[in-house]
Amino acid sequence: MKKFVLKRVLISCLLLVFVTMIIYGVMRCMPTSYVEQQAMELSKKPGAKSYGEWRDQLNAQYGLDTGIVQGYFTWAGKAVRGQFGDSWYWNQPVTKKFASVIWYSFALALGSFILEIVIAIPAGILAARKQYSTSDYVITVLALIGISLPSFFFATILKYIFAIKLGWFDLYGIVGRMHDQLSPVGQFFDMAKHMVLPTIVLAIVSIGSLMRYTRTNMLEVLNSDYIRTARAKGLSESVVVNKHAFRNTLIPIITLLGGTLPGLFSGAMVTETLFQIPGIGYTSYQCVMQGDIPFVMFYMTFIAILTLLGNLIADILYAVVDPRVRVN
Amino acid sequence: MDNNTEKKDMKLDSEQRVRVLSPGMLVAKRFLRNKLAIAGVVIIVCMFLFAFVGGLLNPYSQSQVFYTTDEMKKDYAGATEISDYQIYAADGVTLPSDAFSKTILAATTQKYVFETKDGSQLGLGKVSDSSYIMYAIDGSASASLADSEEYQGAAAAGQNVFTKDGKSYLFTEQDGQLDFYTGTEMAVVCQLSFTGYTAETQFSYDFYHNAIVAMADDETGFTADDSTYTIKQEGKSAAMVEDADGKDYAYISNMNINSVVDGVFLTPAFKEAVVAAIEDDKEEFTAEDKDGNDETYLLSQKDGQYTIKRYQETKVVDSYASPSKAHWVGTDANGMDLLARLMYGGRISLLIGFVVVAIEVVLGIIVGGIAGFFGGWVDNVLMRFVDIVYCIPAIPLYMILGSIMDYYKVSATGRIYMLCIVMSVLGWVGIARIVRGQILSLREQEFMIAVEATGISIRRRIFRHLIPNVIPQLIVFATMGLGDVILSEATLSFLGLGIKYPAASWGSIINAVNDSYVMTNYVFVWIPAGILILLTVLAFNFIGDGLRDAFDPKMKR
Repeated sequence: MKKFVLKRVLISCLLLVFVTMIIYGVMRCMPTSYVEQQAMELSKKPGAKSYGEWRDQLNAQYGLDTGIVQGYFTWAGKAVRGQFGDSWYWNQPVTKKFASVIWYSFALALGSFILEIVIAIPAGILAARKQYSTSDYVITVLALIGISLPSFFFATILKYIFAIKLGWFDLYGIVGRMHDQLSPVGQFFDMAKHMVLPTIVLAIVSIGSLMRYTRTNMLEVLNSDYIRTARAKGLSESVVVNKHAFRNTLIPIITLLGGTLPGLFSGAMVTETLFQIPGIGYTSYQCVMQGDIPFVMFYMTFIAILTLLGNLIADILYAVVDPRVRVN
Repeated sequence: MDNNTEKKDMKLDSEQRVRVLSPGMLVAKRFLRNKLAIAGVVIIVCMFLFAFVGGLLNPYSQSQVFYTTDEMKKDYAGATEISDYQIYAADGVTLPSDAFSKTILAATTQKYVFETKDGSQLGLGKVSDSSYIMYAIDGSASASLADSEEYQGAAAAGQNVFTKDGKSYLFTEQDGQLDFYTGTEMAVVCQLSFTGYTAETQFSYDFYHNAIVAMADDETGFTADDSTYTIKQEGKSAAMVEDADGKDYAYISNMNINSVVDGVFLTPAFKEAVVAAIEDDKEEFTAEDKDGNDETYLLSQKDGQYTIKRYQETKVVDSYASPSKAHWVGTDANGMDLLARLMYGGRISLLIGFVVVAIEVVLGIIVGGIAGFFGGWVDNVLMRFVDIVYCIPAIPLYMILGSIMDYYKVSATGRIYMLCIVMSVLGWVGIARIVRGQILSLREQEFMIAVEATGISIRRRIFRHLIPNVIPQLIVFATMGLGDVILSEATLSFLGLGIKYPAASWGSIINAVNDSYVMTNYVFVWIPAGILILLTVLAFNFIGDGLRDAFDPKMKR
């Protein structure tokens, strides 16, 4: 087991090297005049460093003045030590900005993750138990609609109904206008209130696949021999479903969910941007739009790490949860 | 009855009795029984008709801009009280270059005889408080004129000019010293403007002179150039001049009224109405336009500057027009027909979906097929490569490429190709994994051993015997992938990175909601596009789902 995990981790590290190499290569595709122009504009901002300082910092950070391979190792060497340079747009160290925004994204993702599990798994099991019934059809169609919904369209509809027509929520932002006057508890609820709509959007658009996954797996389990045996023994239907079937359905589900755990930190670029939640997604959206290379490089590396981590966790969980699965 | 007898004669495995369906027919039959899948097919067919046939039938193109007329308050004319002296020179007279400034000085200091830069002497003969006649001084006259009747009369009337024996004399009185000058008339100086009845009307010097004198003397008429005119005084300093037939001939007033619209001539009647309105402090007045219709004008004043506005029909871009007969779904911000844009946007969205999925399938089959068939280190290397591509974060990458394309000002079509390439280069890994997984398991089956035993070439083994067995899964995945691609294209276009103006796409149409005013007030702009995306993606998912069931009845969805 240890050997397996170690091997996977090493492979992931190797993959990460290649992924970051590609990301670095893409960034190097940007015309140099673009970088210079950006640096020039940056230096015009009030309180910013001078053009020369920006350019020198960039060269030092990314090895822009050297070849692409050497430049990559310059950058990677610093990145390994956690030095990602200063964000152009935010005018502060990338890691500092990252630390200040990531928890918004995490809270948002965690909320929708819980909502998703609470709705999708029972619904999927219900659909599987009553296969071809009306409720099965309704759940299947709803799941497919959820999968097919463009998140920006759904978010706009929610905003239109709940923020504009009903006026229950604010259109944008994470805090209300009176946020500063509120007590700490009030501030918490103020922020929670602003998270409601984005959480619903995130949950609804991702609920469908988990629901269908649950249903498919539950059907497979319900059609298996040991369930027939359990029924033949004369166990009550609830025991059959809740004890024998449900636990076995959980194996693939936990594997899947475990794989998505790192994704909780990845931020939801579209949804956060639409609701202007200052999480990692919205922040990096702004950075991309402003051509903030240091932050975007960091964000892409971060996402790549999360993806690799997700795969790793899924693989390991698969082996851990199901003893039948041989490590190799 | 006949049927029954016939059946009795049939053999048990007669083809009429047991209809043997080919595997393909079985799949088709199962597929057709699935209501959701049929609904999906119907929706997709409708979408294609809407986008491709509808685009042909629709009378508008995607980039045709529509205009509408709008009643707008527009500046029509401006009016100011004349505070500067206007000089109307006699025919054939050239005034010294500084005559104007010297005149103003003379009028304010009341030193009516003055010298200009070029040494000539000029004199102002007072007609009324703000009207003078300019003379060129020929020389001094004897002081004996002081005894003449004409001088006495002029002095009594507060004037400084008189005519004696057909000659004009000016006099100045300074410190008890009385000087007389003889002069020739050069110009009329006054604070009045003259408007002819038509734009072509030219006034002679005689007319100016006599009109001003007549106005100063409160006379009701005057003669100029052998015609008689009547003057109708209106208010303090305005007068309408009528010709002998009683028709309006000219309008004289102390207001300078000019049109701000090019090529519009303001008639005396209009000016008369303006002056009347100003004097009565009215904010609105009516005047006849050139066709004789009454038109309402608005008058506003600021710092003695009057502005005359009127409602005017102007041609404006018909943006965000509500749905109507001409535009069934209304128009967008640029005044383009939304229905046409939805149709052309649908073409692009559907085409991008198919192109991207086609490239993905080809790439996926090649890489996945090779990896699965050869296994070992080839498999390892290829699959690690797949892992790498899988790890590249798509949206930030698109965004970077989008801004690079912005930087190079790539055309709208160039962006579409670029988008297709990037999406397929990042998207094929899923298909490669599926193909590889399938092939790995198929490879171990007996028929592959048989194929190997017959000694067929490797390429044939892969592409004739393995790939066809992967096709069912591939079709399912590709159908659902179509939906995904359309969805991500819409998302990118929504973020402003995919399809750009003037090309349309469903996502970029919804992009309008970034302006929350549009989102609130023009629901018809973004709802239809959103529903079209939803329906299309949903339909592809329905079909994919139905196909999966049909291909693999064991799984039962």
